[in-house]
Amino acid sequence: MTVRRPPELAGASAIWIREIRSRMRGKRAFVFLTFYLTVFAGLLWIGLRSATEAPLSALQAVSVGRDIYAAVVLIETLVVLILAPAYTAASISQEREKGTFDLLAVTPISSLAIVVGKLVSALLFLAVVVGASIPLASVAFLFGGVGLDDIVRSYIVIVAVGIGAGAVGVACSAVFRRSQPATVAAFIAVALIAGGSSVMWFSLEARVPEGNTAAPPEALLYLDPFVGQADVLCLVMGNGCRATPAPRATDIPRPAPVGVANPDAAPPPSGPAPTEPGSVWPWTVLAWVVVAVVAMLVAADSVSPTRRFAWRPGRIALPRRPSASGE
Amino acid sequence: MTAIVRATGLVKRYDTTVAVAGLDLEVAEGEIFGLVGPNGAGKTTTLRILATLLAPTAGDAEIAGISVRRNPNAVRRVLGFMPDVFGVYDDMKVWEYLDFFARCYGIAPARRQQMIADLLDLVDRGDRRDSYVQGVSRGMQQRLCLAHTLVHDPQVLLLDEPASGLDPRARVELRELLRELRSLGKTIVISSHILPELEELCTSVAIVDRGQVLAQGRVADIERRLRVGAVLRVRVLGDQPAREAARAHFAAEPDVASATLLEDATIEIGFRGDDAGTARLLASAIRADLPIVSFARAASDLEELFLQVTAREAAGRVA
Repeated sequence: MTVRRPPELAGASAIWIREIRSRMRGKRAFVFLTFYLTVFAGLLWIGLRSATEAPLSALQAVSVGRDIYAAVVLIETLVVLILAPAYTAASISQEREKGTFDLLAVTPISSLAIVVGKLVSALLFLAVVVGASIPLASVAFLFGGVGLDDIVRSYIVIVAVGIGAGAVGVACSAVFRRSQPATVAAFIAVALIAGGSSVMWFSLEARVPEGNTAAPPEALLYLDPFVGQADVLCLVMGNGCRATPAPRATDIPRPAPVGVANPDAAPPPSGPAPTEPGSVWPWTVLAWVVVAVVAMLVAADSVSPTRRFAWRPGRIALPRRPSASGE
Repeated sequence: MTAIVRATGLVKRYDTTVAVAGLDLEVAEGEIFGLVGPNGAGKTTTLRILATLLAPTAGDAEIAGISVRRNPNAVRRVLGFMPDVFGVYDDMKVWEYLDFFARCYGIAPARRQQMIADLLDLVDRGDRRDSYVQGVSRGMQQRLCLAHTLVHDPQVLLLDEPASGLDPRARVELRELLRELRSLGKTIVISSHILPELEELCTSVAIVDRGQVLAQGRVADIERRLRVGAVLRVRVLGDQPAREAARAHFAAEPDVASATLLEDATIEIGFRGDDAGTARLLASAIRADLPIVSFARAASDLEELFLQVTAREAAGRVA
């Protein structure tokens, strides 16, 4: 069975093959990878040494394994959040600056294929970076306490965040003519999307009067990749761990739930019901996928003035063709 | 011949600046067509509209009968474009450069290798297949950029100042290459402000200034339309009194506006007559037994023609 590629994406492979070929040909990629893995391994080694100075019980070993895993996952999430826009924010603007974009824009390759090709090439390199550090993450297996499914969940979040942050970078690169403002804008946009939602949640929560259990919608926190990763980690950690802040307790008694015979035996809950571990990260993944889709559409629409979407306002009317009757 | 490139009432406005102001253009199939004009005349903007890189503010253009506004993607399949300023990708070999564009045009893998070899042979650079693009000379990059426009075998080539920055030898090579492309059936639209270069190469020209076509057609036709008469150059044997006598003979002939003896022993005649009149003038000189060595209509000079056309336009504006 052959899988047919959508015609809108025809030619995208030409772009990512060229970009990856150029990127991996020089020394820079390998120097960076070596540096990254050396720093990562160094930090891990320091953490391991301090954690294993004294002999560990089985329970303590599990705890160390989980801590290592948590550290690796959170560091990799941060690395992806930084590297994804860094690798994509100049992808189109740099072609404009170097004068290669016109050559590409007169080919029949679609705008969507151009931006997807740019994104995929950056993501493939990111995959090399993240993939190279998987052996470091697997050190946690030596201590136990972390399952393969936990690692898969964490990497799903990392991949989604990488796609979303990379797409934001491509969009900024398409919108801004120059690479420098495009890069600054990409980092600001990713920071606002990733951290801004949490900042907004906490600022809204701080305004809630004392004694009130009403809290800002928890969904605001779903865009924060660290909240998503914390949710995955809570599945690993157990012990009532929760990724989102605990709801406020209140002194105001609530009426006993209907059907409870003895109110003393089942005390009324104070505040909203706690979020189950494992219920946040799928929303984080979905939120970043949505960010990616929106950003790619913006990028495809902005890549060239003659490649705008049909619905875009400001398109001028075409002159009428003379009809067959000559009218 | 049918027009393969046609622009009708093309306008491109940037805020307060009008780069192209109602330009009409027709290029017949198989021509090397020159867009002649000073810097800022609107040549590059016109070519970029034809290449679907810019949307016109008004008007439309067609390449091989396809509207650049209604169906730009189909237009991209029938044209090749070489911009005046272009860059090259870093860390890319010559064959990879052509392979990349072939992939963009969806050329099948089985055809790509042979096509790359053929194109490198055409631009005479088969030996540089594995060189890095950024490491080759400017002339080689120009040829490579020209080769990239051909990967999909387009009908029309739009070349914006293709010889800029090239040394004289590379210019001659480029001219030869363009003639070869014409012989392969390509229609070439080429812009330049270096007129002697276009004069040698182009079959037709359009003189563009301030975003409008002032004159269009074969150089000789434009000249015929613009000039009241022609300039004839006659060389006669003999000493100074014999040449002076010849000059006086021509000056006395009907339809001769002026007859000037130049320092190189040539008599330049301003002649108002047509071809039959020219023949009569020559017959009269032979009857008078003038020792004529050569008698010819002065060759068309595009530079002169351009200055004449733009001067007329300027005079018209002042009036």
